[in-house]
Amino acid sequence: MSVVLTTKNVKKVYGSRGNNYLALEDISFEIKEGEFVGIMGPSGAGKTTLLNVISTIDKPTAGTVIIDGDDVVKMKDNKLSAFRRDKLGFLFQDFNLLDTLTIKENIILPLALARVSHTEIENRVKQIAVNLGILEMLNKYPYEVSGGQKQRAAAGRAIIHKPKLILADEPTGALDSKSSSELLQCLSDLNEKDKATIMMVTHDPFAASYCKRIIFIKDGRLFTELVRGGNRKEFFQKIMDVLATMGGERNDLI
Amino acid sequence: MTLFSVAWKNVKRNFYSYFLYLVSMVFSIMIYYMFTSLKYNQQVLNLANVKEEIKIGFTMASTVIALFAAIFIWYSNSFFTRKRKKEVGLYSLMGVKKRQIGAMLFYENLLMGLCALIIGILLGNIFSKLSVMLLLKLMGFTVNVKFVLIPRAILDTVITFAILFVITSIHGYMIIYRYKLIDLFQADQQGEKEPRASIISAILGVLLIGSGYFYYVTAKIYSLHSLLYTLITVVVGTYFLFSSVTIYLIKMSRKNKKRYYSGVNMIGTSHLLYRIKRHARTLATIAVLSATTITAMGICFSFYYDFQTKFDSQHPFSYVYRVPDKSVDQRMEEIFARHPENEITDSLEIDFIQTKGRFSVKSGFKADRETYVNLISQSKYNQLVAVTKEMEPVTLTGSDEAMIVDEFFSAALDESYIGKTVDLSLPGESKSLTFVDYRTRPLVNSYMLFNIIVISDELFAEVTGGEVIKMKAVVVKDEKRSEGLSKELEGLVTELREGGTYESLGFSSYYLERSDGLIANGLVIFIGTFLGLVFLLSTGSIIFFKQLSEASDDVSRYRILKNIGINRREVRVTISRQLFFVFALPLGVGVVHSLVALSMLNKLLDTNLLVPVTVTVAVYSLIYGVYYYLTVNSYTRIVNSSV
Repeated sequence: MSVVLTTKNVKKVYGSRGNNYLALEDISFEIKEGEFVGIMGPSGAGKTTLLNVISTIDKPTAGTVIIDGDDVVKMKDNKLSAFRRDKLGFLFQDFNLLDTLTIKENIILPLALARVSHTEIENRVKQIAVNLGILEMLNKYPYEVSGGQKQRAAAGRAIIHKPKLILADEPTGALDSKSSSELLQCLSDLNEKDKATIMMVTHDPFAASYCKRIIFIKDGRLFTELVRGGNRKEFFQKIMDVLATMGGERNDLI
Repeated sequence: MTLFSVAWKNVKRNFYSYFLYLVSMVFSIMIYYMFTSLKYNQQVLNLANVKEEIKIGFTMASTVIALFAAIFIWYSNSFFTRKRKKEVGLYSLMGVKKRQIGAMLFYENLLMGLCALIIGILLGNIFSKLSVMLLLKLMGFTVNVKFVLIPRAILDTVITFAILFVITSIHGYMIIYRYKLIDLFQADQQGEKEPRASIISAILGVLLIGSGYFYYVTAKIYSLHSLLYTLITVVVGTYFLFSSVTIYLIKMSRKNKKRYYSGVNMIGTSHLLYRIKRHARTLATIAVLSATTITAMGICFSFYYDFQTKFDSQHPFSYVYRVPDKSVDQRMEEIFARHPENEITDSLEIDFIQTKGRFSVKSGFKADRETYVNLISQSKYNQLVAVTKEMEPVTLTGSDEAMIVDEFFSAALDESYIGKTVDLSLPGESKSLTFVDYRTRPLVNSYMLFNIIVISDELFAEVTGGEVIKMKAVVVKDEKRSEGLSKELEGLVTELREGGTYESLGFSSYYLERSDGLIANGLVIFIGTFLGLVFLLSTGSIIFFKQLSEASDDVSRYRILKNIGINRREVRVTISRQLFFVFALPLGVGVVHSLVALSMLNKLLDTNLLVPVTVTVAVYSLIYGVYYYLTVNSYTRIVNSSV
């Protein structure tokens, strides 16, 4: 299987002149096609910084980030926009749906921007809506549907253009537990059936247990890695164990 | 840190958003100052012999400016205060008393006002000489303009605007008092419902405007009544139109999936739809304001243009005057003789026979009424037009035929004279004549004699009754530089008129009428242009402010879009298209309104007003376009900077 994401010695320093803060150092890992990887760590560990660097929204101070064979660190602004549009899919904690667009329009946004023909758009959106169970909501506006439905719509938007890599930033953070498990099941299904490659940042061990592999970071450095062997329950227990050894404050973990 | 210094810092920090507000204010003050100082400018008043008119004209114009500035400052002020709701909330939370916050905003407003006042008066002084020069040039004078500082005008301006600023500052102060802390922190409500276009309001809007237009265009006579009807229906209709038809337009553009689902179209269109309901009233107001401004400026330019193009043909003779007896003629001739620089090149004596007649026309003022008519022989008529070359000669075949010369004839409003008759009431008998032709320019100078009927020489010789009016029409050399001669002739005419014997002595002078016309038209176009500019600048600023407040609401939306992957160029394209709709629609409606309004002028003046109207619309659109460009730039900058 081909490698989708490679990070090599990624370093990120905030601030300037003397007053520096080291957010990431020496982060190197790979994500292969079809993987569902979780990134975990306590608050301030650098999870969001790492996600921003990988999602090309922020640039690393040093090191390389290669997505689908392209070095995104060296890319120019305009090219990056197109790159994000074609190769990446995003899922945010606060959904980030446009309130001026209907659910359907939100989902098809990446395709519209890529100027895909409208018949193709209609076909794909229908199929995705069926898979995510939001077919009835398509013509509603975001304020008319529940949080869980919003996040599933956001997931639809993240995958409709078949991106190489889906980046999810605490996607269950604003959801109740029922909606959370529904969404995670959706993501898991997407990964299993559609072979979508997903990288999810979370601090919730329950959400993380849906992943196939988890990378732990602490104080800006890689801490350890866990690969799911048996069922989800066992995996969840393992995650808890790692978190316990990582220390940090308990409040941050759960 | 005193409140005053915080206020000063705020003004400095918010400079950019205040900038256009300041510019519009400075401009209003500058024009106000210019007008008031012209009102008191002795040099201008001494040149023109219509002092009172000039004074009244400028007083009225400056009052209009002050009123408009008041509305504009009031609007912008509440806009700025509302925009800073959160900031005010934060101060409140930190324990600053409302009284202190209010005082701070009050100081800010006063500071801004003071800045605008100082800059406005300064610029007004710098441009005052230029403005006097421009005014005098438009009025047709060529003199050296002295620079004068007029303290009265400065005082006048300072007092007027100080009162305005204090009132609007108090208003801003009061806005703060009305807010509750919770209101200040509440974000603007998210997730408004998709607007529904009311079909009734759409039909009503179209019907109202349509009926207003129809009534106006087909009207034969313009009474205050009909004008008012059109004004009300069109204004009300415009509001209905914008609150419904715009929604239809946007929704229709969504129907075309191929276009709608392509690129950034979806984003811009949905943004528009989302806030069109809130915008509808502003857009309609801008449309009405634009229509008013364009119409007013169009009228000014059209009159000026009409005057410039038609004056010469309406005054083919340098002088036309009645000759009641030999002595008057003699005294006139003596004056002519004293001015060899304006040597007489043509001089014609004309005999008219004045009597009464009844026309068989059905429209206009002549219908069903006996009016005075002035008969002239065919040979005299042909002799006159041979000199003026303004009209075609005529050949009447028989004494039953006639031709009328009606300088007020309007092709659009009046029916043709051909085939119509006039019954002349001559002593003892009544003679019926049939018109075979008509002319629509003044035979001698404009406003000298009306209803001139050309009859055959035989008939003219036969007519015995009626009053014979003797006139003299003179062409002199260098009539454009005949001030001395003209003034002297006018002096004699005034003297004769006041003497009592010749109360209604007709007199027309090319030079004097032209310079009077130039003064009046120059004044109108001068005031009209600057008033129009003040209106335009304020209108532009209102859209600008409104859109920029939208821009700050849009920041989060564009952040999402940027994450998804649209680049800066696409952001700009979306914004330009979105704003194009917002700007172009009211302009388009305003232009159509004003074109319809000006069509009346076209009919009344019987001049092709294509040139002045096109110039007006083009200039207005151009400056308006600058505002569009500025708004797109600022909008894009706000949206892009925060990502």
